[in-house]
Amino acid sequence: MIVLEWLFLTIAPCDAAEPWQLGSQDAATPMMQGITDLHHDIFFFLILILVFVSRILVRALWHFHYQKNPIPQRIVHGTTIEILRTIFPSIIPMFIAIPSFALLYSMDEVVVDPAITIKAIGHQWYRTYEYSDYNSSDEQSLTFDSYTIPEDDLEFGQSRLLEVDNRVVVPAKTHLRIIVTPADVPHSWAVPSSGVKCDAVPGRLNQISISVQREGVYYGQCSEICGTNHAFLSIVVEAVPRKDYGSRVSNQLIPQTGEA
Amino acid sequence: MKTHLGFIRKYTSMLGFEIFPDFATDFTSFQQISKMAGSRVAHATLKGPSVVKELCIGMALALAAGSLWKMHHWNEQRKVRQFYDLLEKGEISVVVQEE
Repeated sequence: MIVLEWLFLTIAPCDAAEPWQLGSQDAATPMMQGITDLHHDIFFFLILILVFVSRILVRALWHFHYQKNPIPQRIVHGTTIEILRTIFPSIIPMFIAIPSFALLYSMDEVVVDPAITIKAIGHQWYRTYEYSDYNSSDEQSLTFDSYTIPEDDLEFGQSRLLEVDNRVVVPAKTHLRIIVTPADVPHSWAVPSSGVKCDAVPGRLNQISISVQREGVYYGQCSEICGTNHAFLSIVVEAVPRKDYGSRVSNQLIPQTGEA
Repeated sequence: MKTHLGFIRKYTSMLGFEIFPDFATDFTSFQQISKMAGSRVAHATLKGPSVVKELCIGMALALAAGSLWKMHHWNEQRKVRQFYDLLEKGEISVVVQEE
């Protein structure tokens, strides 16, 4: 089994894209875990069909090779096999549909009222994040811009075209609501390890709910072509322990209120 | 049609192989063949493959390969569950402690 495990090289060690990566990033939310499990369920049927069809094809090529089988068959009908090859393939999509629809509808369901709402606004070519939960209506909300760090300014160990100057700090194990919208052209807020890809459509507020299950730093990239610097518009979500979240936000709030 | 077939038969025999066998004799042997067992692919001279046997072997191999994948999936699920259990208990941490 160890040999077999070695053969299945799939799991990326961090929550960002890896060179030569095969498979999804490690799941950080229940939604992403559900997506990964659904993929595994469907892949089971894929393997079933691939092995079966390849076997039958190879055997047919073997048995009916012109040297071994000089006289070709003239059979044109076979009622039993036609019934079987219609019914079995129609059952497989039923087995795929059940977990697929279960996941789809569970993703739309917002069971728990989110504790925090964050607005992610896409611009050409940077992102703005707003935390509006901590101010009264006449105060300005905690807002900051997030630019991708240019290649020349990267420190050792940082990822190219992924690191940003200001990360989105969120508490772990907390229900979050992310509202995604653009300021100009369409963008898309995507973080693969959270199982999130939400289009930012001009004139529209799209909402997603996530709950990050472990602390960590999660990377994503813009997923809707938005101009010449579409590749330079990355997303970094930093999930911190709940007890540290308050101090992180207040540290960010203080310079803002100082400016005001 | 007969003229064309005659031309093709002559042409192919010049090339050394026959692709249009004699219809009269073959039709007779075809009648004999069609009376043989349905699950066996009929052949005039050689023993053909059994369709049921090939399908069963194919399904068995497919299920074996699928089982390997399922075992990998369950193993991965177990590792993930173990990881989150240990994280919950505090035995492991993903946060680097500040010095």
